Amino acid sequence: MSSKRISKELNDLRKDPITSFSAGPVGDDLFHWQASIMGPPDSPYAGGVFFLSIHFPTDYPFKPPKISFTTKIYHPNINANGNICLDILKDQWSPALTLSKVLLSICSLLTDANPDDPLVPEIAHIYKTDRSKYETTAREWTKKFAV
Amino acid sequence: MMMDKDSSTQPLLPTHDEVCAKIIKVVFTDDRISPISLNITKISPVSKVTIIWLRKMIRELKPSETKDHALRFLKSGTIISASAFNEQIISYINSTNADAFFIHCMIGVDELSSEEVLHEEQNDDSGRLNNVNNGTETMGAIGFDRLRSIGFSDEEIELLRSQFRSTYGDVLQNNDVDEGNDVDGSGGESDRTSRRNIRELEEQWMENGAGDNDERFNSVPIANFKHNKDLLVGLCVGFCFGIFAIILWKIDGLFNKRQRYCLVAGMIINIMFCLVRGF
Amino acid sequence: MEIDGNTLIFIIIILFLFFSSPGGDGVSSQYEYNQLQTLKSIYQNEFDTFKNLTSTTNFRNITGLKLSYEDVQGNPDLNATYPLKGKVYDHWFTNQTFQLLPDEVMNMINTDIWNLPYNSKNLFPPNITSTVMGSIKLHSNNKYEKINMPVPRFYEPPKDFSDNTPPWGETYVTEWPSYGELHNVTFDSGELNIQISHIDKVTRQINSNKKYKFNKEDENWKLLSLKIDFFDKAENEKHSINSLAIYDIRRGRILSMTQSAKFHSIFALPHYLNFENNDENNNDTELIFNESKQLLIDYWNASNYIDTLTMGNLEGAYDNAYFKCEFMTFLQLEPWNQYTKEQLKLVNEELNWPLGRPANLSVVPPVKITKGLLYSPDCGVLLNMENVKGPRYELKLRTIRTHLLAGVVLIATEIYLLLRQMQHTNTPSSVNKISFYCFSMMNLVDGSLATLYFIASSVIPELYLPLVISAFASFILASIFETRYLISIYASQINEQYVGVLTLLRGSTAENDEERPVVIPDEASISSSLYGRFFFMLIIFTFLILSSTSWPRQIRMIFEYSAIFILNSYWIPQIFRNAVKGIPSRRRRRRDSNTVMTRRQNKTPLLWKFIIGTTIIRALPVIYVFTYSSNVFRHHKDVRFAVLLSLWLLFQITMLYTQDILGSRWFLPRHAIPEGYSYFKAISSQHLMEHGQTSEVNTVDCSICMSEIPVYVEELPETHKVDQHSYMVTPCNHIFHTSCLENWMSYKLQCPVCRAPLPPL
Repeated sequence: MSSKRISKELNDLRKDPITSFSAGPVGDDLFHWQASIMGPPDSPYAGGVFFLSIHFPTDYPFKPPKISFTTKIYHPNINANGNICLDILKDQWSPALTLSKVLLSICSLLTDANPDDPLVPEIAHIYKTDRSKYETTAREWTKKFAV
Repeated sequence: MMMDKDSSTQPLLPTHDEVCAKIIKVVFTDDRISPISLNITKISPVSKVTIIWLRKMIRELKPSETKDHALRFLKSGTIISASAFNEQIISYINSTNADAFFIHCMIGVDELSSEEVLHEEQNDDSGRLNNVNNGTETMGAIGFDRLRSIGFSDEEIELLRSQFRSTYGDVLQNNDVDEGNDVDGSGGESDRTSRRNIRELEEQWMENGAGDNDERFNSVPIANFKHNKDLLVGLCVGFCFGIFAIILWKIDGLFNKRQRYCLVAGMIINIMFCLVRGF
Repeated sequence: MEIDGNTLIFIIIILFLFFSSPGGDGVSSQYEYNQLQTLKSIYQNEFDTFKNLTSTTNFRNITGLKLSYEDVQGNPDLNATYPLKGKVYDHWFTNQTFQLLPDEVMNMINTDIWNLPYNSKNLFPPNITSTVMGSIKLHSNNKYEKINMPVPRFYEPPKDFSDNTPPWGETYVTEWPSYGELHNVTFDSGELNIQISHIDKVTRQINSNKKYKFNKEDENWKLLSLKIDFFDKAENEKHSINSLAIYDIRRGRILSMTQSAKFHSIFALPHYLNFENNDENNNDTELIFNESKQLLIDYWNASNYIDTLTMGNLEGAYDNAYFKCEFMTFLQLEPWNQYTKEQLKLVNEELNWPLGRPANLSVVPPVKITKGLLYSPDCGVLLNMENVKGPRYELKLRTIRTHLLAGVVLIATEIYLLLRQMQHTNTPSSVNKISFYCFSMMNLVDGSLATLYFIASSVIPELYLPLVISAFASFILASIFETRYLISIYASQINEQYVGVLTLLRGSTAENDEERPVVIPDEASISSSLYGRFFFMLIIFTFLILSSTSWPRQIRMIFEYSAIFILNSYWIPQIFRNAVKGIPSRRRRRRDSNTVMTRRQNKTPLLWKFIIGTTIIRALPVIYVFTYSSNVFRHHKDVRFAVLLSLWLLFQITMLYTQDILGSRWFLPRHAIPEGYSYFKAISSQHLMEHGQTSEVNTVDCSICMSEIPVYVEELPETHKVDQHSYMVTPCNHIFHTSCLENWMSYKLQCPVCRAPLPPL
């Protein structure tokens, strides 16, 4: 059942691609995907390409996929290991959510961070107190790692 | 070439006399640029359709946006190399798939000199971003080197891993979730943690055999019998042995991770009792 | 208040003052010092007099012993002075001219109590550490004259700060305080218990823990300390006495006298050990007197009696003088003639230092006091004891130990059953059917059990190990496993907090959507709030239990019976919840269980082995206490209540059984229960138009598996062959495949599309 649904999502993505991200399975394994998100144009990550690794659980869609950034990114809700702090990937998961919706949420997370529930408190602090410094650092990192 | 250009700018609807129109749809990462569809049914030989050809076409069709900028192509979430592109195009042409072959095109932000534009192709295969999954990756890719050193080849390791995951995926997840590997975030299948998990799982698997497939929908982790049994064992041993339970902790393979945590809890209860008695 | 240097110093000084005790003997002012010195000098004088006492001389200037019964008989207001005009001080005879006891009482003692002849071949146990219980009867409380014992004035607290010298002289108290113990015994009959403990080791200095033996395993005399409590049946009038006693092993006699500021009875003990005046036993009289006097002198010297006097002793003596009557106790033990001397020695050693000697400890007889008498010289009260006995302390501990271990086995079984039960309900839908209050009640009982065991482990150090193990076992049962289960039950029922019972019965959630919180709080916050509530209730309940031991009997009985009854009704909330949830009868369940899914949803909430096992485990101790007459808690026997309790539990189990067989709502009238929410319904065309595709096939997409669902549309007859049970419609009008939604509902009861709460299946 999970492979059927994942295949369906893959077909939907192929038929109707979305501009902000690209995703597909690594090799033949349907349960392991990679994705790339373009830095949103109105964020300091603009121009960068961020790669993610996605693992679908065997009881997908009843359990959320495990998504992590493989590219280093300077963001209050994403830590150095690439873990993402997003509620729909944890307890607010719903089986009606598709991977594209989740990736779109991650894109909007890049544009609008959530400093009140941070994964990296230091970055969240800078985000709240000195926004321009945050943006500069984010741009630097994007240039260094994601371009 | 001009002829190609004319026919390729037609909109995409397959006409009735074309049985299967093969179309490459290029979607730009910038929303403001509209996608391009290139009809490649009539191109032969097929080997002409390469990344370099694609780049040229795009530069011709969208000159203003692409001038002096690097162009990179993404497919299925990765930067696609020239050889992979050729392979995929060939299989697409030979298949009876009626859908378009779409590819993302990323327009670089930096300005390139005309020199670099010419030599852009060289970056395709050996470019920095192609190694992005290895170089700037945040996790060290040492996880499976260990298994490699024992004598497993790369394919065997991948096979083992995907087999393992498909059979024991939920147990892996449960262990992840409960044992605090995923305490911070939502992904975290970094190789370090996955190596640890897999090693642990293999141990458990070898000890316990197959088992546990009925627990697939065991969604209330508090009520899991195995977890509770571990809790009980850890607490009792930790309480009875007190400080000496640390010795038992050090012995590898005697207790699994969860039992170890409960051992600590049992020790703490023991110490609390001592303190109260002291007063 | 900020913590800075000054505050810290302040805190340290306060702590220092708090914890530092003013010297070893508690003297904290010049006045108190003088008081203590006076007391010490008085004791020294009296001791010197005592040393010169022989079996034929009278007491001279010893506090409380200056008057004899006859002196007061004719002259009740006589002042106690030394020397008294006309009193003989060079002789001693056992009659009321010289003694505090009236002749009548003395004869009673001679004929009834201490009537075993001296040379008889009776064997008495050398060690009688035990707690004996029996009944007591008032003989008379107004027949005998009260002997005035004045209280020396130097005990009084200072009147103002500048006083340095305690007052001199004595006061004769006529108005006794109206609170505390009565200066009279007014009930006719009551209960008695005596805690007998041996004084074998003494400390030589104040606040020192080192103890020294003073009595070299003497075969004939032992010094005891008795704590006698007697009260009436209703426990309205309680008396408590602490006294020093001498145990004459050869004759099995115990003589005990209380001490206070007005009665230094320690010096009187040798004279009162023998009431026989027969000439032929004169040598024995002298022997007894000298031996007991030597015992007391040894005790006095070994314990540095005078040097180890503290202000605490002084104040205690003063309080005892004011608040209590002085009592003299005469006890006669029953001989243990079934043993020979060597056997007795063996048994004694084995009890004291268990090494596994071949002494059959299970047939050791109880310590029995055949006859006893209590007389108060200054209150004029005479009491008789009867049927007083109790097991040796060590034997009692052994029985308690076996009971505790049995208790641990019961708790371990309960843990196992609980784990099995938790395993049985491992999805939110099934946990939803369990009653929260049912397990809360069990949790409360187990938690208080853990606390009580824990407190007991500090009170009875000999049983530390079994008590700590029991405390640990019930602790993990209550606060780890049961609380985890309660957290998961609470989490799955959190949506129902704001909904009334009738709505629950109906199972519909369409109304009142705005008031319900959409966000389900996560487990961490639930668990912290539940733990908080649990500990709070636990503390209150334990406090109630502990304080109830001092309430008068009537109130205590009511509290105890009602608490036991209520706490053993833990299946009632579950019966109630079953009715609310509407579990179908067993026949219907068998009929409907065509798929694995429905079979899973239709299992009973509680495992039968859990129900029966838990009931037996929890009822067993209660029934034991109420039916077994020689139980360790000395609880009275009440078979009627035990039978009533068992019937009540049986009734609850029967109700659960009938709910299982006949459906859980069989006893509710039909019209009170509307139909529950049914997920399987037909769809209207309009609905299809809104949600479905516009293609020819009348299908809706399932957002879980993303394939199509053929649906039954009322208006379109071609769809009427679709099985209505193959898809489910939520109250928020979203449609899913039955298997898809049932699967999801085993994780969370929430609509995947709009996150509205879903009624359970």
